[in-house]
Amino acid sequence: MSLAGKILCIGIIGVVLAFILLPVPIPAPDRLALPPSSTYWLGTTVTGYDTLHLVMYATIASTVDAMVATSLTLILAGLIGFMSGSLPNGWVDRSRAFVGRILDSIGAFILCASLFSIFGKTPFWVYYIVLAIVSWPGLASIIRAGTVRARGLPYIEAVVASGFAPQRILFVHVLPELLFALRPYIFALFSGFVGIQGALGFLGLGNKDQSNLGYLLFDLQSSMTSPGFIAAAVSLMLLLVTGHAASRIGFRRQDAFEPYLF
Amino acid sequence: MFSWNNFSLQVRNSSLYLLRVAFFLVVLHGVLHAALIVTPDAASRQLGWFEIESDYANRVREQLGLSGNGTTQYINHLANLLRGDWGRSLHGNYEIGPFMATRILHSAPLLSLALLWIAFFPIPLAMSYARATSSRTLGVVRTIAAVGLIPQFLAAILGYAFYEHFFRPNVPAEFASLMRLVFASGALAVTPAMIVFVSAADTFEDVTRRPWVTVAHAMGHSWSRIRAMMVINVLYELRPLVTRVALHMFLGTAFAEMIFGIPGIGAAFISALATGDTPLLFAIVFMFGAIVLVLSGLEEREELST
Repeated sequence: MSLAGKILCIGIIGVVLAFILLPVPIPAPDRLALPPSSTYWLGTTVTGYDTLHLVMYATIASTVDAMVATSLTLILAGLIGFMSGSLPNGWVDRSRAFVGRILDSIGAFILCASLFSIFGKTPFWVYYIVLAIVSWPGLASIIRAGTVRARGLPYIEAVVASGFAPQRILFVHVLPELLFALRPYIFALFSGFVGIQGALGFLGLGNKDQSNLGYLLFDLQSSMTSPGFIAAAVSLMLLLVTGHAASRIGFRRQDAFEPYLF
Repeated sequence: MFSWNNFSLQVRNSSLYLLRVAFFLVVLHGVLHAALIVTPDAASRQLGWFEIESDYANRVREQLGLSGNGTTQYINHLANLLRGDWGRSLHGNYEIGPFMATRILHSAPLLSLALLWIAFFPIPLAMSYARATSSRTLGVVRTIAAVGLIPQFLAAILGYAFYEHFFRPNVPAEFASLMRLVFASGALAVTPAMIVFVSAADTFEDVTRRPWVTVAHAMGHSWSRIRAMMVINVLYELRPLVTRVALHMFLGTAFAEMIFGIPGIGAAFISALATGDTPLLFAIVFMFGAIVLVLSGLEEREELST
């Protein structure tokens, strides 16, 4: 595993551990709306929460939410893109292009917001599934392009000529190569989900029990100059920038060192 | 010179394009109808009307066009739409068509101003990025571009905070609404402008290396003329961005209008989201999706890609 891969794995494990280990913020009646002090660095909210604790918890919750949504989208887009690329111009491929075009014309956020507005409060798994269903087309077309290209690569032709089973070729030879080349897109998708979830939360749509940064901004939007609102906005920005930066670094690295699959 | 062959080809291509767009619009209508009108059983689910009088529930269902079976509902809805009847709002009980026309008029100045920002800000910035040789210039341009990473709702909040704290107290009252429009359009244009900038910078780098630039220079054309030709080339290459920019423009309009208090179509969308007004939500999303579909169809027209 490369150094970047190790850092990524450590990051993911760190976020998951922090999500499990960081205690859930609990309000206390003796610390309502306190200003920033040495005990409470960002003060407390009007409901008695420690603002810094709340922002930290919401940041980790946002990261986990975006990671879950990204993983689901990757699985869905991978299946569809892979099937489309395996049989280009087949009915799956044409249906993918058609449905993708319709979904793209509306946009993930607009569709999600409209659906959540009608459904009201949704269970958390519906929230993730809706996000994945409206966001797969872009990634699926990239995976489809990669699969079509991979089919023509000499080593794939060699394994085909060697008589390996199609499933083995697909899962052992094509898929790892695709995942390797997809890393920058995955970071971009992660970043996109952070933004979408932030905006959905800011409008109070979806599942308010998730306590991610968007819902924190929604709760604090009555006082937009409060340290809590500013800290939550800055945390959201940092998450977005991290995702975008990782994506850009991935693209540059891919251009410089790795086989150009897409 | 006029040629019947060319003319018939143009007519054929245009007809095919119109047919494709019409087909996609019908499918878009079907998808949105299924997602926003039929699936949630409209008002009853949204408002939690479990123990409501059956007469009242039937009247609301009738009003929403939900009284027949699925096929009847869909065909009725499509027929009404083709007749120009967008239905009535669930909460305000007003006609949606005239309401949207009024709201679009309110949004027009904001969108026009934002388009000006997008047209005149990212292209020169991308040009300077492509021509920059010092790492300091590159760093400055990259930092400016990074501003575009701000989510649009945060950009709108930030713009509003700047406007309220620094500009509103210092500008005469008669210019206050104009300044509010300028700030709202700036906040709206941040993300689309960043999208245009990133692609334009890459395209400029590519265009400057094309052989015709060297040839034009060798032929004695002035640099200003060559740059103008490069800009035209870059704009031509940026056509596929039109739909993405349109999507972000709409989102930006919604947030900017909500936060700056401009009563346009974006604010109507946000209020429809908040109240769960399905007919209004359907009308706005369908209108917007139709615009994006027509634009994406234009991108693919063969006459434009020669």
